[in-house]
Amino acid sequence: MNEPTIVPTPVPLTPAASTPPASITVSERKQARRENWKLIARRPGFVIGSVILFVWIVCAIGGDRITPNDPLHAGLVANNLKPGTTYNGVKLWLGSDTSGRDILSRIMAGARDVLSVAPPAAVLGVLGGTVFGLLMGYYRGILDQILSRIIEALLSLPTLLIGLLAVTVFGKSNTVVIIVVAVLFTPIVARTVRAAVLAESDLDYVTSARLRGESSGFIMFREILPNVSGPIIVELTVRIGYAVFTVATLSFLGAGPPPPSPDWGAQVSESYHIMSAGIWWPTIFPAIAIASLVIAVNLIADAVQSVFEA
Amino acid sequence: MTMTPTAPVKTAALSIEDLEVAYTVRGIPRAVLRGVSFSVAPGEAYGLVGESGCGKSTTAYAALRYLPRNGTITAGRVLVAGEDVTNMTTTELQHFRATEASMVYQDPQSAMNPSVRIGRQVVEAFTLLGQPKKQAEESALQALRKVRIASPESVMERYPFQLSGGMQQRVVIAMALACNPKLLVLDEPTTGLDATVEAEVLDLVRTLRTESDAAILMIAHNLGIIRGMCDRVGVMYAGKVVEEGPCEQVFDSPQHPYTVGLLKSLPRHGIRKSQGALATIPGILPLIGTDLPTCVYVDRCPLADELCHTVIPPVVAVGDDGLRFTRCHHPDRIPEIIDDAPYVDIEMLAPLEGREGVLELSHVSKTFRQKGSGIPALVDVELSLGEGETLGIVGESGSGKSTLAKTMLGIESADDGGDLSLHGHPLPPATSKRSSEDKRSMQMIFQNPDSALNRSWSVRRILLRSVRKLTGITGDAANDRVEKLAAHLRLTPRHLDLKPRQLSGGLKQRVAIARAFAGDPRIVVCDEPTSALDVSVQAAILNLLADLQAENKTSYVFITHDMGVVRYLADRIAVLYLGRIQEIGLTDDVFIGPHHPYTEALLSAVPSVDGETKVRIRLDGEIPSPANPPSGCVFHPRCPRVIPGVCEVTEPALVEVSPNHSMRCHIPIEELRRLQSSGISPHAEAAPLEPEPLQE
Repeated sequence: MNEPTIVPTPVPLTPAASTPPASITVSERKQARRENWKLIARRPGFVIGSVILFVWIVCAIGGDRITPNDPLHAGLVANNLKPGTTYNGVKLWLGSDTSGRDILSRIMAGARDVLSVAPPAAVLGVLGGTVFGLLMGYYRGILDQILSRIIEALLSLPTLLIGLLAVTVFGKSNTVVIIVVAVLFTPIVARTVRAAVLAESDLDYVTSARLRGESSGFIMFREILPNVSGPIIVELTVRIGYAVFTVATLSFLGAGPPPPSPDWGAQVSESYHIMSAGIWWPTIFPAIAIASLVIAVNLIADAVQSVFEA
Repeated sequence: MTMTPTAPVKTAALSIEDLEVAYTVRGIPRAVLRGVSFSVAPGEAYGLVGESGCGKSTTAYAALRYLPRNGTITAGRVLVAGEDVTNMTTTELQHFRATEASMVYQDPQSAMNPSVRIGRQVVEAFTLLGQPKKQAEESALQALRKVRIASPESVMERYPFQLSGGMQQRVVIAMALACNPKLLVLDEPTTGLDATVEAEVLDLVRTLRTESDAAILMIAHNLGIIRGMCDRVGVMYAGKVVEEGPCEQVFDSPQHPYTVGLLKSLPRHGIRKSQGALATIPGILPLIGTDLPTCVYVDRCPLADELCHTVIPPVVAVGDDGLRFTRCHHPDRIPEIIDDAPYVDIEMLAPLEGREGVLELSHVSKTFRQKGSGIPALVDVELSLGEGETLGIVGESGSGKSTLAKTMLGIESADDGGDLSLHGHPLPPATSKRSSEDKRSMQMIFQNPDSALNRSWSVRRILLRSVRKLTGITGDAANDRVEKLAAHLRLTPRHLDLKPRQLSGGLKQRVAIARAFAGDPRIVVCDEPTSALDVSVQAAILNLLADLQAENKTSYVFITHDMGVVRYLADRIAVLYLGRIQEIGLTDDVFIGPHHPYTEALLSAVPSVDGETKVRIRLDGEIPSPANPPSGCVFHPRCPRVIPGVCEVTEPALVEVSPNHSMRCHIPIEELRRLQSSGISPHAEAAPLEPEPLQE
């Protein structure tokens, strides 16, 4: 304690310090949010993920308007040309496939197939999971017991097999794939949401709502739901990544859109058997496209998670 | 500068010198400690007090260099037994923490590994010191005996969850003492425990102090505990020690305006709401990292003048012994704020007689079903609540206080056979079956406003919903009502558009109270409404509750473990034990006595900031499980005044011993009066601290 007894520092009078505390906290909160977002935006993962995702979204929206060649035009060039060759004045950056189509154009156009199926499937699955999770976590008891057992049973089934079966039975279409993937995701999301709701419904504001006579629906959807939105948003981003993966796998297995669609999974499936002959590019480039999209979504999901679960 | 007093010793066990600590929050370092200096001599106990956020825990953690990841020591030094902790390497620090210093945390449950047996955990504390396995086991047994655990062998076989809270804290203390530390840091060691258990643990620490020469640094928000345990105390505010000195001197004649404010906001000396309001400290603690160029307390200080705003206050020695100092420009003006008519008058409440009964409970029981067997949580409760009356409910945790509240409100349905009635008409047991008028009449204020307010709703939405739902008012009229309600609770219109997390603890609790009063309730159940708040905020909330009651003639059911608070606010008090009312009567009758032996034990477990000496009677062990209550009088196994052959056989009836004062005890009231007034402690001949028998 070496403080001098009197320090005649010309500190100005501090009228600002008498500002009411609440206004300090308001600006404090706003500033906190801004600083938080700055911190995320600075995360390299988030930046890389966003850039990659942005590129694919542009491709998906642009479709064949921005591809260098017609992605569906079979016999545009000779079959199985190596990446980088120029054929009849057509530059083939990524080579051509077994039907003589431009692989780069097909990959760019294929972004639309996956992006029009995976995100809606994930959103639908998260919506379903949220409703079931709320019901289970709020009512508990018998309802929770029964639904939990059903979920466990569903989770023990092999996802892809069920997906394939469903597509075989209901026919190949984007709608069917979206619904199938959503149904497969619902129990997984429901479990996460249920856990969050269980913790939330023990809080006193729920008791308080009951004491003033609110209905169960009001308590679930108006009182509890906003407070579990954090885990739900995180789950949504994670699920979109998985949905890309699942949709690609389904189409690889032949449950995707029918040929000549430039779907990535279908492209891999059409050409992987000639890999052993040294023709790797029709398989590897679409596979990299799938991987890049999954990774991009996961990088964004990580960053989102760090905000909502910090 | 030699004005700063230090402990009169050779090498201080702990010496903190101009310590500054900052936490990095969202990338910006924010100052928490702004130059803290004090020292603790070997064998001395030093207490740190202050409101939450003042930096007391940060100081304690910094003493062991155990700051959270985002905390850094930006200036100053910490010396433990002469060694500089601030400059130690990781290896040195590990060795230092293993051999020189220990810490006991607030929650014993989280201080132990839940899936490892007690034995292994305690033995580990010794093998860490290099003892071979066999010797460590022997040391562990000894250590457990030292903390008065009766059958250490069997305790060592158990898992932490199989022990009661008090036992767990004993084990943690045993582990902390394993290395025979030179410095023992106790961070709110009894905050999570019941008053009766707290008293036991504090007794233990007191006894252990005589056996070891460890210096103790104790953090507590309860000033009474610090007074009872510590030799010297430092009062912290906004990262500075503003006053320091021997406990009795500081608490009996405070010399800093902040200390004065803290002490004045406590309900002490048996003051009642009818005698006046409690003093409060206006404003809130500055946020961490705030720039505080001069006196840290200047914005809330009633004595602040031009000088305080411009010049850093000096460290002023108090007295001649060099043991006390205060950081204030105007210690000479302290008497002004001590003596300035401290209490504001509150309208006297109507006398108890002639009050209309509002709520009646007769033969109300509540049995919880678990695995096929019934657990009686409330047994045959008879209560009546008058208009504008406050009924205090006290008892240890597990005594059924909260169950009683929930049963009244219908959150839990009472068993068949009991009757609840409101204004003379029967009240259905479950809330969902009650009419909206009944719901409007009974509302609740919860312990923790963070949990009680929906954090994604704005204050306006919270209040508006309650107004609409409870009163049926809609549209602009509802908005008007919300604004009136808010103004009434001294919330400004600006507060209405904030989310709860943007408000301080006291403001949040005001919002919760406003919500409870949205529909002009007749009865408000308050479940420990101030226990999560600092004392200065507590005073403001208690004043507000008293005001609202005087104005609206609302009845309160006030659940608390704080005897000072209940004495201040309650008109009548019911003492609950194992779901049975043991004593019920007017506040003064219950406090002045003769009281039920259980009430007597509860009262003598309260550590007092005034240092009054009381006959202390101690309870052994903890409240038994309600699943199989003891025979006869349920309190007999722990009762210090038990009559063998009587109490364990028949349960005494709740009889009126004097007008409006009933209790459940076999000892005749005159005998109780004689025992309690003569100060005959049933423990007079027994050793001061018996080993605690293991509870099955």
